[in-house]
Amino acid sequence: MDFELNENEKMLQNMVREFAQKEIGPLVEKLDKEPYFPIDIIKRFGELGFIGIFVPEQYGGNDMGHLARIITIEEIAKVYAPLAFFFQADQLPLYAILSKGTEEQKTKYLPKLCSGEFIGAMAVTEPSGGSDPNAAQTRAEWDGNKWIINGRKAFITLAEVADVCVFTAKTDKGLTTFIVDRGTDGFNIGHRETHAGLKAIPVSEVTFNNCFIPKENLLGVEGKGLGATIATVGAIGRTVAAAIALGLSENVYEIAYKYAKERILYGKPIFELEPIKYELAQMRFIIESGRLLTYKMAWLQDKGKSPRELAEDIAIAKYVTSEGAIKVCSDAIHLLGAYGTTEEYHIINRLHDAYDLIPAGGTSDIMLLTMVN
Amino acid sequence: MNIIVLVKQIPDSEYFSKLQLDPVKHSLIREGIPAVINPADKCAIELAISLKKHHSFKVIAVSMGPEATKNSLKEAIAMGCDEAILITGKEFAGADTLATSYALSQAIIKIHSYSMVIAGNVALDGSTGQTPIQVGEFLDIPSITNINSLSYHKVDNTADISRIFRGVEQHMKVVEMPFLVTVSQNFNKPHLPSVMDIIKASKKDIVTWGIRDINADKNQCGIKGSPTETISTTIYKNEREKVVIIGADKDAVKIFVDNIKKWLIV
Repeated sequence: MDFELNENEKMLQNMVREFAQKEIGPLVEKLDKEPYFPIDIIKRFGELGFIGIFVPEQYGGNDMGHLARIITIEEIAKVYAPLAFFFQADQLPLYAILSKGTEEQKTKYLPKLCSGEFIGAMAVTEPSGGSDPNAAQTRAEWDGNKWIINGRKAFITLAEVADVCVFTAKTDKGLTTFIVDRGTDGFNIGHRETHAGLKAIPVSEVTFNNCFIPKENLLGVEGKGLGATIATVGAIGRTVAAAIALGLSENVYEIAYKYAKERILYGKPIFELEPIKYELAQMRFIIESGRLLTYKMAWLQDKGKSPRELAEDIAIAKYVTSEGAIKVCSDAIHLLGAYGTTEEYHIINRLHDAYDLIPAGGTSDIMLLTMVN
Repeated sequence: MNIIVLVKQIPDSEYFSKLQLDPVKHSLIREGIPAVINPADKCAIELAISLKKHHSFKVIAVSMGPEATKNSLKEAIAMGCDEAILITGKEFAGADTLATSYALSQAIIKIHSYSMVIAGNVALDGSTGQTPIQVGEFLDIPSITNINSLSYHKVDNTADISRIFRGVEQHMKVVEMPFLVTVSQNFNKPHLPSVMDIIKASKKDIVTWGIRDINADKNQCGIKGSPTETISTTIYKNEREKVVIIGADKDAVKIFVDNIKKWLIV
């Protein structure tokens, strides 16, 4: 087994790291204090080729694969996890259209999503819940000429700024996926959620009120939306959440490590104290094991394994990294003492971000169920 | 028409504190430390790419070093260089700036046709700033250091160059090609290659030249060709010496004054 990144992956990692440090780093202070959606940075994601990194070249992507995707997201999250969360939502419709779309749909949407000209969202969760997509109450009725959609979706990341949204609705044949363009009559953005973390990325409700969807916007096969949705959420939603959690943990670990080396107690750095070393070691253990699981998951995706085949690997990686991120943040807060919850060190913000990663792509309970199902 | 860019791979300055000295060779142990393109050389690449875009130059990156230097040359190609050449071989090991300059100039002579050579003014690991100027001397071409701007005019094949130092701006006109310029790491803001640039660069081969390829005299290369030799190296550590003076009488004041005199503060 070769655990080394190849030459291209190392070059990519260095490039993303430099980009994140130089272009996102200077914004962290402001984004944590007064969160806003930094559209300029999002455009840079498109310009540099991050968004479509796993999409074939013929559709505007770079075809570098899923490990490259994970490395990119991890490096961005190492500097600022909320901005990495952009990919968790934007790449969902990208994957859905790539895997289930017609040639016309792929040609129409994928190049613009890859370049960043379009922002995408995926609307599955409803006010009644998201862990059981098949319990959707949003309805799609066929009137012989078009689909008529009625319903509500909740906690939809990027809906407020999205140009295109993939969503699920129940037809007579079962759960089905559709595509809706921004500005379509009857498709409205509802109130914005106010989560404790990941605040730079907008999350809102969306409503369908006699929204007319043309037949060419049916995505995949009518009634086969459940499998497609689970596959998309697994392949993208959960894997991205794992990569973000990993990067976030590395970010917080670096802050704690640096603090331990500089803070003097009893005449020497607290790093020399056994309990501090033990805490840092625990953080390190979470990060290294999380990285192995996350990279393995992406590597298997690149080997052509389907999301269904990888369901357990993905669930394990997401569970370990996301729960691990909460532990790393909590331990770091303990280590920093009174400074732990100050704005200066940003760890409390990262803890909020870590908690908001838990439900992203499926809660930890769902991950545990998937592991042993 | 070609532009040649001199590129050096150095240890990442973020890790300078972790560098250790080889007690025998008095040189830095670079293994295990991430390597990057010298920052001023990246600015040199950026200038060359800008000239390429406006005037259709072909840009060739040239470096001397071990096999691992290819990673930096791949990055140079990802940034937009058309070709990259690595001068490598055991004969070049241990070279000081003179031997390095000789080898680089021999490679440039082999390339033969070029309008200008662009280089970073100083490499962060050695900080001598000698190599580019020595290359200019070996090539017997005009060299202008630490330029502030460069405008090339295709119509008459000339270049306007400015330098700024001590509040004075010098303007120069180069009327005869080729020439050599150096730039600092603040000259411009090098762009980041995109993912597609990285993929395209991965498909290009790096040309490697040995001592015979560049027709170099082995006595002017490597340790043999290095008139300078490092005989010792000291790493300075910043430490705080704490002196506690208790009291405010004459004796205490004398201790205070003696200490600040000792450290030459006054």
